[in-house]
Amino acid sequence: MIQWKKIFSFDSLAIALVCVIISTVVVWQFRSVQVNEDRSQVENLKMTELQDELINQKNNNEKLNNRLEELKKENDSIKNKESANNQLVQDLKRASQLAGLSSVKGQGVQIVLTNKPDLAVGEAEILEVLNELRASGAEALEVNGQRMTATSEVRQAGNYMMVNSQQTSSPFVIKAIGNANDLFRAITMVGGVKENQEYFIGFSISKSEDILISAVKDNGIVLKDQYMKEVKP
Amino acid sequence: MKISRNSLLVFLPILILGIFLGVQFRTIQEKEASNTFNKIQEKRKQTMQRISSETKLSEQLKSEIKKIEKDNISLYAAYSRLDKNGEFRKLNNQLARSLFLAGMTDVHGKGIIVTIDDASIPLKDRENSNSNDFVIHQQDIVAIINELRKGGAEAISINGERVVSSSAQICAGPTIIINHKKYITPFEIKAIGDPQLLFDTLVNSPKYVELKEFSLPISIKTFEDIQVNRFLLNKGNGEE
Repeated sequence: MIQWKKIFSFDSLAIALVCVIISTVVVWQFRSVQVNEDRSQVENLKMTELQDELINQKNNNEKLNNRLEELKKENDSIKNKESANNQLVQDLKRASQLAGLSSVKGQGVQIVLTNKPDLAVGEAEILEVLNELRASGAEALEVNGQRMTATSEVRQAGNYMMVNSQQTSSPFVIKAIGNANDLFRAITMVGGVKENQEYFIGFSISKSEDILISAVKDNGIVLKDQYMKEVKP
Repeated sequence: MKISRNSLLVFLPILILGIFLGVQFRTIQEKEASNTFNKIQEKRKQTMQRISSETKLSEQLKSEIKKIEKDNISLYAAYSRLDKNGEFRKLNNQLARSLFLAGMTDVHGKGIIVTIDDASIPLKDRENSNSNDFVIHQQDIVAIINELRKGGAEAISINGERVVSSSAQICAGPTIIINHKKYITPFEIKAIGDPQLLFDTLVNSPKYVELKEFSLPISIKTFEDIQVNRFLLNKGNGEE
């Protein structure tokens, strides 16, 4: 027979009460520690983002500072009438390289995209490769002999591709001048452009010490200025 | 069993002691937690201050760069005026032309402004709940820029960053990096050129149709005169 009296005695009730209080305290404690941990994790995440931002801004300022130092030196040599001519020639050289008006050479990579029997290279594949190369510091780019300028388009038109309004087709030879190792690594990294694209189309890449990239002509076809006018200060 | 005085005397103090211990333990922990929290807050504040001072520095550097460049240009112009055989003047005109075509000068003219943002439809209203379809990606921006180039754009900028031959659009989480600077949605893309041709080319492109399909807010407006700012840094482009 169950001894009800014994079960509901004061002693056992007291023990039960204490147990309930202790377990409540333990759970409460545990939970609040967890909440605090979660909160600090969120705060930490925001911190790393802020730190990235700071590093990015610092790098940017370093570049600006370098350019400023360079300009100061140029300014000194322009002030001297004798060296001004040399400086002008150098400035012109750099400006025409930036615009794409002079051919350039240097180290870099060459990528060849080819159609497969069932799948053709599209606009998007070429654009993706170009964007990735630019993101990895490419300074000059060319697609099948066409220099990529600020206004160069890639247009799919039936079986052809139009680049700088010139008709071209597979294989697409993309040349890029820049740090060859950086460019190569960026394209061939795991989950990168090469891995994504070679599943569908032919994709090969090689580093080279001597990439030659052609110039565009200032004849209004690629670089246009029918609508834009310089803002005079 | 009978309730003994003794057991009460033992239980009550133990109970009170236990509660005291618990309260004490919690206060210590809370203090520690709030200490680390305060430390993180403090560090955050410092980092934000450093970012804002770096941003200030960058504005300062930019205006200094522009000042010296202006000085250089006026020096060249002065020499050109004095130039008798015309050789210097010829080179200087070529320089101005190259800088203009390279995107190193502020330009203005007819054109369009495209604004594009992430979709704002509540998640529950979307049939396809893949949230990736409702945000702007780097390939969207790359495709839009390419469409504008197809439409004969002469100068393009994204959120004020001039798009030059070496400009990439890089995805970085919720932001997109353009010319080494991070930008968040909405994106404002300016293009100078024939407004109607730019408009038609973009509206008839597969990318536009795709963005519309996923209800991404994209608006295109034509303008009689817009300004597209210059690209500031110029780095060497290989060797000649």
